[in-house]
Amino acid sequence: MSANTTSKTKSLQAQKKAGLIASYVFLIILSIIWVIPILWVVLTSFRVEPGSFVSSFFPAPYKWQAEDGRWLEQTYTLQNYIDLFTPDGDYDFGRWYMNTLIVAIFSCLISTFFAVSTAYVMSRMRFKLRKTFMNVALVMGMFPGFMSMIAVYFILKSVNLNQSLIALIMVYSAGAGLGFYVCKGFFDTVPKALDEAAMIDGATKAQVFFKIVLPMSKPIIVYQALTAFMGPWMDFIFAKFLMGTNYKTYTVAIGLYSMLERERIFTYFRQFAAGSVCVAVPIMVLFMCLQKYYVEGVTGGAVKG
Amino acid sequence: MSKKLDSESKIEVPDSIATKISFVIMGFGNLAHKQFVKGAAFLLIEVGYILFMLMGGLQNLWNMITLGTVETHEEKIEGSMFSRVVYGDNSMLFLLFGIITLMITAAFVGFYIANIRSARNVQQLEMKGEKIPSFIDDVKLLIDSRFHITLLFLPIVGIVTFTLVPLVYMILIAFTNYDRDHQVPGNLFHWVGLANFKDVLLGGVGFADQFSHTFFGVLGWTLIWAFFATFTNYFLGIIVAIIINQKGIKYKALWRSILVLTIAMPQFISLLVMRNFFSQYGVINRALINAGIISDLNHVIPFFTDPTWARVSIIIVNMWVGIPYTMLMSSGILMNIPQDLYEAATVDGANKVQMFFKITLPQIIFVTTPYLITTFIGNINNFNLIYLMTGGGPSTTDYYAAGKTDLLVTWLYKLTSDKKDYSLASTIGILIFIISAALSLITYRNTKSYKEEDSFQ
Amino acid sequence: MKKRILALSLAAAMLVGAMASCTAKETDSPSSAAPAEKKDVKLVMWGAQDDQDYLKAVTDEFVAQYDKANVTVELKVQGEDTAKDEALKDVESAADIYGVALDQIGALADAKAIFEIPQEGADQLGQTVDMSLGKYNGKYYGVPYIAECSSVLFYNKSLLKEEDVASLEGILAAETGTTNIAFRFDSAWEDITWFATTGAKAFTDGDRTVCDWNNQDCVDMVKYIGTLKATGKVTTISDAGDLSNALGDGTIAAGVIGSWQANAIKEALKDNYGVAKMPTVNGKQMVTFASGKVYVINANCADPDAAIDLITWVTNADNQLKRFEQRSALPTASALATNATILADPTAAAELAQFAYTIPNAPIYGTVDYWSTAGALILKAFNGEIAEDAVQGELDTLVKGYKGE
Repeated sequence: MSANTTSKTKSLQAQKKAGLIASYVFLIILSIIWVIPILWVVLTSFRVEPGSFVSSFFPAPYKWQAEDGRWLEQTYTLQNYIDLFTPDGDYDFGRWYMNTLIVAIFSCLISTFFAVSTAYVMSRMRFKLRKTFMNVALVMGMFPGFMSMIAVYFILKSVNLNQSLIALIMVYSAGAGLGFYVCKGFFDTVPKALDEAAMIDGATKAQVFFKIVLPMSKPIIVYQALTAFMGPWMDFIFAKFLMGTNYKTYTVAIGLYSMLERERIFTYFRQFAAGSVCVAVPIMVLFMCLQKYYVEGVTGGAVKG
Repeated sequence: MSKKLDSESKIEVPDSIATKISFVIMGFGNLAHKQFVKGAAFLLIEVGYILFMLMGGLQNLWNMITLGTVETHEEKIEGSMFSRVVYGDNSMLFLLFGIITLMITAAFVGFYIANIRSARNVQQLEMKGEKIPSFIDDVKLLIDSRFHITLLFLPIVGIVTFTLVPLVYMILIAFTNYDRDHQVPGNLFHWVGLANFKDVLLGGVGFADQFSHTFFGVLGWTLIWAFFATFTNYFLGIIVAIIINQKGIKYKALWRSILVLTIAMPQFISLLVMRNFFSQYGVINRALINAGIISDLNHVIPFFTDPTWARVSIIIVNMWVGIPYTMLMSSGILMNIPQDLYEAATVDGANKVQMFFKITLPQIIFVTTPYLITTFIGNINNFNLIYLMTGGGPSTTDYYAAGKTDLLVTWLYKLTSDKKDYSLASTIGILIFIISAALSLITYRNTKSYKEEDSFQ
Repeated sequence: MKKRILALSLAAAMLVGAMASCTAKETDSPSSAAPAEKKDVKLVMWGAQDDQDYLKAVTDEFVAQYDKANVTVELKVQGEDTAKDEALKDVESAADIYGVALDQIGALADAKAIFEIPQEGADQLGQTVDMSLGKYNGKYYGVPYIAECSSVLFYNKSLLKEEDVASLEGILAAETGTTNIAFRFDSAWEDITWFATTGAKAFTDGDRTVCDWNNQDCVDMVKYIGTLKATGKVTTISDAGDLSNALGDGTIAAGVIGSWQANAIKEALKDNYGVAKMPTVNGKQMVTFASGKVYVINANCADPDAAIDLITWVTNADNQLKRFEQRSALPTASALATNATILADPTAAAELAQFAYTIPNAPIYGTVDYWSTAGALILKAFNGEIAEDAVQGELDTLVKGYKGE
């Protein structure tokens, strides 16, 4: 978006160069600000020194007396990761990790399907109550969710599903039909002429949906899927409320958050950091790989959200 | 429920006997016209509903009206020193199951209407001598002209069960006295009409007055916060995107990726780290003390301990959280702005700043208005950030159970989780909802994308 | 397609019935079982994650020696801090026995979620533990197993001497070359000391209308707090982690906080770790909350007699000593007050000494708005934001709020 195509004089070019340098400096500072907290978590996950808060940004060497009386000194260790994945009674991070993965995969599939189908219907079909549904959907998500947690809990309990992973999948996916706006915006930009041409050729609406619209909507599907996939890794309030004391069905977010309790944080903070890294790395990789689609999806969707 | 495709060809005729019987025995009209599967389905629904109502549905509705009458009492246990608590009615479950029964009834009414329409429809088809659709034909419709029913069925079931029922439950709680003095299962609560709204909005004596004062104080800050949180992120995100997307900047993907890292980090982790950095003797203040800029702990920057500082701090932290999102989105939009617009502007002698305000910004704003609305509403309800950073603090004696950075939504959380003042919390919930819904409906309906929905393509 | 919802609703309807019958059944079971034959009793118990090994060992012993019934104990992890919320969410699904923080039994008792312990039982338990901590509204609801004071004094031995820390004046007078002492002025938990030390009454016997924190002594105390900042020797630190860090690197010489932070402070101060009971202020010993953790019995528990036997077992002096050895939490058994093992631990010894100067952390504090307001007021006073002549007004408002006037 710069004006270089018509820059005619040398001074203009010098100005441009200065501008670029300033931009680089700005970007470097920005990157540092954004990376520091993450780097700190990574460093902490390898730290030997116990406790939640330390006096310096980089871990200091830590001295302690071994069982045989020798004094040992070390700064970095892998022990936190080993401890994390070694089950300690009900604390079983490996299991929580698998739980979360299962919940994330299923709720990602289901909620993507829900959101995409609702969006398709709203974008392509015209029927009575359509506008009503859209308005209701727009405002329904605006009620703060905490009050409803207890109701959801007892609804699930009434079918004996509370404290189960299925309950989490249901809860995470069920509302997806309300989150169709971005997706609908995207579908609106897919030319209708394509559907019409196909329908003249005798295709049913279902065929249009599955064979024409869906294949053209990869970015928005990736966007929806990615958002849905990330949810279960981050939610610590709703999941905790549903699971209660059933540690077998905990997700990583509940487990990690429970390590931060006042009386536990001192011992568990390094494991918490290690757990955080284990959670963040796969999501980051996924995000990096799919970033292109995410951007296209969110932009396309927002254009006419 | 069902949509008529043949409405143009419809003529008003009196209902046949089969249709009339359908008013009582659902599906009769279909069965009479050999639509066995459809008719049987209607009949089954009716039988099922009647059974359900007899087996407990009616009781549920009655319970919802009374909210329970049997009080909890204690009984001596034989051969033990203890007395057992014998629970009476559970008002909370009565209310919830009453709502579920209402939803089932609403669905049944929908099917009932569909049944009558269907009966009239087959009657008409028969009169006109047209082929009566078989079950297979109906199924075919479901993947074609009625495909929306197929696609929407499961999402709507999900929404009704896990969003609508809890929502109605929450709304109704606001009209009861379900508070810390009326805790289930040991106590009953009752309908109290609009008393809670009166307390919150108009105040009153003592407690109610303090509550009302807190509500308006917290509401004011919530709106200020939502405004700043939304617009700082929005404009700074756009600026960062513009800088990255400049011609001449290398490694665009790398810069973007660095910022995007934070999106992938669960918020409760990154925010905890931020809190650690900003705390009174955290990394930042400690660095300032070590550098000799600050003399002692009484002169540190009160990032989270002074009300004004705390408010500014969380807006700053929110930028860290939010800028990557806006940056990502505006990057996408920037790439789509036709370059010839800028070239033409340069020929006309416009400078960069002018181009930004005349071309880039209008384009982005035009495209992202819906996003802005959603973000604004999202910020009104931005629970995570406040809860994890300040927990609503610093606390104050002016407010009831709220601190100076509490948003309505975090205050609501405190009222439910610490104070168990459910009825007041849900009154606030309704007020938050009214504010958000009004804001978004008004703005959304005024956007081009809504008004020109059908003319777009 | 309607069937699915129908099934769900039928299940819902059945649940209501099931719940009714379930309660009835549980009521019957203890009395209908024949006394001659040993009945099967299953007790679910919640304990903190760090307590699991200890509880496993202790409950196994209980099961082995118990002869009144064939008892089995199932342990589940649930920390004391959130046990109340977890239990109130769904009383029926809560454990038969669980530990909660002392001030939370009020909410549990009000919701009728726990058994009242009859006088007879309390008398018996009172022979081993201090039952006064488990009292609410004049009735017994919980059996205390951990005692704690809301705060003790931690200090850096290289900067302050033992005689310095006997009084606040002594601490302020000491030449430490740094900030002498930090309080958590914004935390109502530690701030109780400023009111309690004056001897002013609050919520005696669970009575909400008793509170005279606006009397002259309290006004003077708040004014005194207002003079502390100007000395340059007192500061406020709200975050517990910050406080231990500041102690560790010598930014402060002493800090007042609850003993739950002892491990972190010990780690930070290492050999310079010092701990003592609260100092005196103007010649008066500073008073704190006597708090702790208590076991309660779920009102849905099928066999409260077996449950109380288990609790009696877990809280007996031997087992409390074992708990102390594993978790260094101060026991409630009166027999242990002079125990050498406990007195040898500096933190426990300091806390035990402080325990003589306490007011009960009555559950009523959880039902008035104490926790969010008292800290705000004291912090304001420390920051000099309350003018001397405005103190009375501020305290009047505070007290009015508590009384619900």
